[in-house]
Amino acid sequence: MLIQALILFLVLDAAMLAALLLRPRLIGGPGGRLVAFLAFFLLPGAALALGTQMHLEKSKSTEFCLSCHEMEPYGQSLLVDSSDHLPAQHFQNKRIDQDHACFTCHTNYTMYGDVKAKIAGLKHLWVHYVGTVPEQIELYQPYQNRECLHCHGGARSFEENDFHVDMLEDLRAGEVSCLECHDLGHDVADLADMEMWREELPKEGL
Amino acid sequence: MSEATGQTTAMPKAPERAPRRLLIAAAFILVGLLLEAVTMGMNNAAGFLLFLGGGGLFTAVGIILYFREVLSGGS
Repeated sequence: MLIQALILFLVLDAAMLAALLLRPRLIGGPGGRLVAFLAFFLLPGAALALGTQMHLEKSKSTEFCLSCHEMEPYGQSLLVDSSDHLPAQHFQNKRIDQDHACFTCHTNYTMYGDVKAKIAGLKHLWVHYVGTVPEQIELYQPYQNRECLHCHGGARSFEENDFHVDMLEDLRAGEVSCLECHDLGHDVADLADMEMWREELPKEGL
Repeated sequence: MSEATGQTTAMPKAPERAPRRLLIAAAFILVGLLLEAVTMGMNNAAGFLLFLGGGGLFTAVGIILYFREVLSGGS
């Protein structure tokens, strides 16, 4: 829907600009001034706003994150055939939306979480194109339980789990990290030795 | 012929060509829109950068030039 609207704006604006430039007398009249305002400001401005919104949405997709070669091993780690590997289990069993796998777990579930995630994304772009990609990629901040509890909090399977029952308050307060027990994340260093569920990420999931 | 002064007054002529600044503004906007259109099919970092750094920048410059022309009264 967004793309169709954007295409419509682009075509309409190009036609209006062409008409105004080929027949400059049109600009002189009050109607012409309004058309000029539309063609020179409102439509391009709207196209820019819509396009930005569209690209921000796209930047949440798994395909977008994995388009940088540095992220390829992390994409591969979603295919590890092991029930201990947290990202792989979430991805393969559709516990997260496969189209937005990276974003779902790595965004920040606070009021301005999306904005913070986008700012972090801009840092990634800077490092990718201008800076030096570190040998070992690390998160900017320690992973917060909040991101896990966004989905698992309140779920019966989580709250009544024998291991969780005694430490629920500590988990909620962040005093015990989920990763203390669930410590197998993107184990990219050992990828070559691992069995894979499949060769490539499912296309329908991206 | 003006009755009061006896002089002829010329009617203001409609412009034959669009002001130069408007032409440049339109060119910037069209290039910007074209770049935006090209990036619509891209789902990667390069597409995002091309959209904002290319399409966005050209469009914004075009809009600014248009407003300069409008505010200066076409002088």
